[in-house]
Amino acid sequence: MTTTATGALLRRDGLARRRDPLYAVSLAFLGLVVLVAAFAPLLAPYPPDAIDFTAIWGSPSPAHLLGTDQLGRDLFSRLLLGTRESLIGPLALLAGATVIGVAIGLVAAWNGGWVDVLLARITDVMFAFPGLLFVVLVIAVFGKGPWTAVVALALAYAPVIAKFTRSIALSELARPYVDAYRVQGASAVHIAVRRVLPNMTPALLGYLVVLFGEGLMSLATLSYLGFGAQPPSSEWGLMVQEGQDGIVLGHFAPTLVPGLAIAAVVVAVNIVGVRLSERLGARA
Amino acid sequence: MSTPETASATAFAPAPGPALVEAAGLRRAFRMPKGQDPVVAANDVSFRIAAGEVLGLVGESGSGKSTIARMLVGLERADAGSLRIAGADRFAPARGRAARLARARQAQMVFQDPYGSLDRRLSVQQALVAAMRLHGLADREGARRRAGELLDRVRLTVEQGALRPHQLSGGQRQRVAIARALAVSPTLLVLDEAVSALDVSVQAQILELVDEIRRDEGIAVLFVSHDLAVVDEIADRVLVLYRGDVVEEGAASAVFRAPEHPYTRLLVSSVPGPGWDPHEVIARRREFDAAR
Repeated sequence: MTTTATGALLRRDGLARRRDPLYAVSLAFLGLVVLVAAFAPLLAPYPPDAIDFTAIWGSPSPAHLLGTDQLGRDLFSRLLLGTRESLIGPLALLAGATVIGVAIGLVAAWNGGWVDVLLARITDVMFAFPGLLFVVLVIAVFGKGPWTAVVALALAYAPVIAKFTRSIALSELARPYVDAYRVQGASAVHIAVRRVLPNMTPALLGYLVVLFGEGLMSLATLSYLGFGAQPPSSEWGLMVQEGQDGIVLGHFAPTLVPGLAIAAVVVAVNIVGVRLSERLGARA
Repeated sequence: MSTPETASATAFAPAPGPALVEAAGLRRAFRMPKGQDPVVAANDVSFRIAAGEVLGLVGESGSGKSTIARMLVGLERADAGSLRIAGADRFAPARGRAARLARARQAQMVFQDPYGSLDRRLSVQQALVAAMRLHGLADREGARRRAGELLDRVRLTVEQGALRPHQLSGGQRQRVAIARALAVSPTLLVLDEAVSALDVSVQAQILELVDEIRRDEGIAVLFVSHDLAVVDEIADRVLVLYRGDVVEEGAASAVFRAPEHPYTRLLVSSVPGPGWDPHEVIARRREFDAAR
């Protein structure tokens, strides 16, 4: 649904007509990143975990475009391969959080009553409690690893998405077409899931895109702290952490390159998310 | 459209033919925030509508018109009273999908807001097909064919059928809403201020369409409006509602030409026309409320 909605959006608005170069560049960049993730093994000149003790902390050269790290691994190859884990993590966390959050938010908006009160309490607690702390707590209980981090962050994001979903669902449910479906005899589930939810997708989409950027940052942070991806993974947050020993030795690239990659993707994602919200919101 | 009866006709004209809709003693009060009296939207409202008849429901804002209309299509419950359409109790719990759909096929509604009452994601054609498919009335191909007939019925073209609501005018949207209501072949059509948001010439077209539909399909119509001229144009009989009470009922021509109840007289004399003075209308209104 997401891709067709975006496709339709591009067709209808026509990027050229709107002249929004920042949006176009961001979208193109993200498209490139996705392509890189898809074809990383073909593009990478070396295996990402190929250790070469003769080339430790190597400077950029024709053989190693971005240089090498503390184990002599090719930074360029690790960056390309790292795209996969760095993107799939936030994607999975967002998918999980969206399914849970949207379901709870819709039910709360539709039913009101105790479901609504319970949701409000849970979100209050989650907002009062630092997200990262909650995640570290979950990891402390269930053990560290990339998937524990994803699941923990999904649990932390779900109430946020639920709250957002609830607010847009409330305004959507107030529209008379919902009554029209009731009069037609459609069931509550049919109306909520088949009719109301698709009408909310534009508003949700922009928000979720921005959250994706946040999720990427959070996961990278967890990996940096050692709670997420584990060696020999080339997840970007972990690469930043592993490379930082090089800074004192004057080798900035192993930290800087994955750090910049994270920053660039997050900035692009935010621009796309905000513009999407504006464009889709304007039409609704 | 109005019957050629004169003002000497009795205020009550019985419904022609057997009653399709029978409402008796409908009551509904809305609780207000603490310290305020509940608002009585319906206070012992009874009426009947025959098949093929148009019953007009008039009254000012807050008189309870919409509450009655919404009760008929199951969007509002009653505190007391009974409501039957074709003998079936509308307030008995509908258990299961089949019962819910069967009940929906009895009464359909056209809403006031032509902009919000259509799903903005669906084309006209899709909306009609979806309604029929929900009720299992036709296979995909049959539904498409019948959607074409319905479009023709409400005088929309096949090309307009491919459009989405935001590409249509207000009058066209109400035609779509009528077609959507007709898609499930209801026995009663409720129009809740359905032409109030339209300009006068478009109103006339919609009224003509509604009149044609009730004549051809023999379905009953409850026509809710605050606009007396419009109701006079389309209704066979009218019910005048004042703060949840039926204060007058009768043939449209009789009620509007020779109103008996003071409130009806007030309403009729408040309609803008030659020599109309808003200050006088407001003063008379105050006087009336004070007397009650």
